[in-house]
Amino acid sequence: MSRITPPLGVLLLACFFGWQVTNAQAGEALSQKPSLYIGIENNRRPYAYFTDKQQAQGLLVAVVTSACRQLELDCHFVGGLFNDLVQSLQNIKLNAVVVIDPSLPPEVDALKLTHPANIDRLKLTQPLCQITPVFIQKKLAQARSRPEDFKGTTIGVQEGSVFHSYLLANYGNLAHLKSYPLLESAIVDLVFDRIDAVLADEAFVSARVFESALDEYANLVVTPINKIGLAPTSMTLAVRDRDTDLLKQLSGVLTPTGKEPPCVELLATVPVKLAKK
Amino acid sequence: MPTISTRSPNQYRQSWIYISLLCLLLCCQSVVYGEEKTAVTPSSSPTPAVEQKTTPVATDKNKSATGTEEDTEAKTQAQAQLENSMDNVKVIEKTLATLRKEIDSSKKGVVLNRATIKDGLDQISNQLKDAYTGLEGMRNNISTNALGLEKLKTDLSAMDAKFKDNLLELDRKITTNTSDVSSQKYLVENYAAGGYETLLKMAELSTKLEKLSQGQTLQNDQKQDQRISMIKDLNRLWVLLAVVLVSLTPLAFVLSSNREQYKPLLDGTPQHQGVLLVCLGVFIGYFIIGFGLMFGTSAGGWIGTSSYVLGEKAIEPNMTPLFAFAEFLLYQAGFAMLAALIIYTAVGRQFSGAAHLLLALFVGAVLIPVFGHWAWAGRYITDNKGWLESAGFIDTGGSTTVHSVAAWFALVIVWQLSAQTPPSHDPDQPENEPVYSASAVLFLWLSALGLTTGTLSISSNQIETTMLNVGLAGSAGGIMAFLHYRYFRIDRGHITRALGGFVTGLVAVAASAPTLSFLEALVVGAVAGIIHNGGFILLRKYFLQRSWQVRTAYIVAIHGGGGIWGSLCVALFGSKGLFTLPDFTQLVSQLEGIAIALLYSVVLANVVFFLFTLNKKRFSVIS
Repeated sequence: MSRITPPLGVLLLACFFGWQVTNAQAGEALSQKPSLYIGIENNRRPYAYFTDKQQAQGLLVAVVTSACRQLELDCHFVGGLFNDLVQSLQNIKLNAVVVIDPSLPPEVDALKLTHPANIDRLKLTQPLCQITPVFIQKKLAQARSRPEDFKGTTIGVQEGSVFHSYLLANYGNLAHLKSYPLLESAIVDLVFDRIDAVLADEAFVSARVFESALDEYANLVVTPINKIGLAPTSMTLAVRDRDTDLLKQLSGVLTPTGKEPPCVELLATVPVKLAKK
Repeated sequence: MPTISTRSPNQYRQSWIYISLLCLLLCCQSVVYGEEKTAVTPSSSPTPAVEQKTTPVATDKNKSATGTEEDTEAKTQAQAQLENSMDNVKVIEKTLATLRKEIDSSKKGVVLNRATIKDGLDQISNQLKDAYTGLEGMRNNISTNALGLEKLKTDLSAMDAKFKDNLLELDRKITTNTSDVSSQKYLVENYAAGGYETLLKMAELSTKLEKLSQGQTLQNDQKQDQRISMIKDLNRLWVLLAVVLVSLTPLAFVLSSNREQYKPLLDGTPQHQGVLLVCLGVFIGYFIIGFGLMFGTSAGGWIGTSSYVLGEKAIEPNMTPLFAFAEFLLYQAGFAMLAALIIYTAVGRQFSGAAHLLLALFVGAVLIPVFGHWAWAGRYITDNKGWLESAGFIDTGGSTTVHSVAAWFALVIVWQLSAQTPPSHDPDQPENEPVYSASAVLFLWLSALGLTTGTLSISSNQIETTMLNVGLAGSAGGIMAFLHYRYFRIDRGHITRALGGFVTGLVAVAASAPTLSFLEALVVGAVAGIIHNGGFILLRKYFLQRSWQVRTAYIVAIHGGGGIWGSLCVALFGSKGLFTLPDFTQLVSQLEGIAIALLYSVVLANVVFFLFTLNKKRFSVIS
């Protein structure tokens, strides 16, 4: 009996560890959710950006993360330039891309596509929030509001954005337009009087200028613009046109009512939490 | 190779068999020829079947080498087939030659068939010749083309390898450059974002600094408010202390003892008790009417129109007093009291107690307040100035406003009274009787400290210098008057003149004490002492010659002469710097104030005297 005890013990231990490993693998298999890789631009505060610890954050990131949680998806955010992200989406390296405010080409825009627009084999969800264009400028005795008031001035705008195309169409003959890859650079130029005004979304102005007290520092004021027609390609999520199920699921969660609030309101109501990259 | 015998009974059948064989060979040859043509035709696809199956990715050297070997093998096979075909053609040619010989040696009975066959064979022979010729040319061409193709293929392989290498290198460079551009763009964006964050930090710091500065300013403001509040409290305390000092004035007059003063008034009231009556009368008159006329809302700078009897809020709501009502009234009542006591002392026993009471009421209610409104209304409410003050007249301590006005008023009263009494000569030389005793002078000194400094702010650092100037001027006046009498007029009145000169110095310096330097104060006082003596002599010689008018002469010399000199000193010594040139504009204003005071007092004194004379028995006005 004493001779068979050690081998028996070893056998029992082996069975125990084997059982543990099997259980662990089974648990992992049970807890594993489907992954969704979503592309976001690296530095588009307050909509989508990465922190110093490389964690995705922002208004739209919070909305998408919330949707992923509802759909029980494990969302991973991947950073990059917008065009690269779109290519990665088309090459099936990503499942979706957050579209902040890129402009449609004029010929496509002229088709007056309704959502979901079919651009480059992509489809867009309904906007997650509504952009509110405002002019931010230095405090003057009489604030500029009408296009004629901007005659001879220099207006800064996000490069390739819907605001850019709007300015080209409506202010191109009046004012000098200066486009910036990063809108914050336009604000810096505005603060130091290198340009006269910046056209941007109210949420951006609220989060990046007014909450930081930069307006007091540089005497900046905001002038709202009357309702203008902008291309419907802002604040959406793009997926491949063949991923109809994913589009349907995301649309059902992201915009269940079809009435999107202004982004500046969403900025105040949606808690911006850390999200996994 | 089968042979055809012309002697066989089946000659005809054998011939056709040979022809059939020949045709079969020709067919084989044509098939071979077709394949060769397909293989060597330049217009056909140069890419072998193997190459067509190869993907663009599989273009490495190994596969290229394999392709070349297969090409060579296929070419060898084609060459072999061509050689075989040529051999076959030669066999056919030989067979045809043999066949022709046998036909020639065949029987003549079959001429027709033989001719037909011969023609067919000739045609075949010709065709074969042509085919052979064509094949030879073709063979040469194929050989030439094969060599060219070999060379071309070699060149192409070399070019293809080089091109592929270049293309790959170019592709790698483009990919590298694209990555670099993306990285640089990302870095630029990061730097721009970092710059913006720096700007935000800067704005935040600026805002914090501003708030800190505002907080500091707020703290400073609070401290300043506390300091201002404390200074206000101290000022109020100082005014109350000045009230106490000013209240010593009646005590000085009570203690002014001389032989004349021991005599009672016309109605039997002791003179020192008459002081009390005067004080009560002037205080009531000043409170009920006088203060309102003096510091009420001005009517064109001529008279105050407010009444403070029912409360201190009698002025316009937009007017803010500089002082609290009660303490300022008490303080100003001291001036009115001083004026009334000057008049009381000057008139003395010529009036009854009741007359003095009425006179004191008048002084407190009208005489001092009206002129005081012209010269001093702005003291209580800055924007409520009287016309004389607006014209530039300055009288800080009341040299003219109180002392001169009272002195001229008393002079006129006494001068009018003197007209109704016969001249007399006092053998006791009453000139040597001082109007103010030593103790009275000391109390007047204390009182003068209150009168000259009561409205000064505690924070102005002027109070102590003003007090010092008052003391210096009084002392200089007293000493100068004493020395003048000691060395220029030999009599017993040295100390009397010294006491009078001291008070004259106090009166003179009152107008400009806060603005004088110490030396200037000494000069002002010294000159005042001389003026006292000279004024007394002149008054006694020309205006007040009666023995009972000695006190009046002293009073007028002290308060009238000292008052005029003091008011002039504002322009003479009040300018910045020590003994600088006088401010002539100010001098004109001062002269204007002095003249107005004189005129005002004379007019009012005559009016009052006239009113008193209307019922002199009732008030026992005149002795």
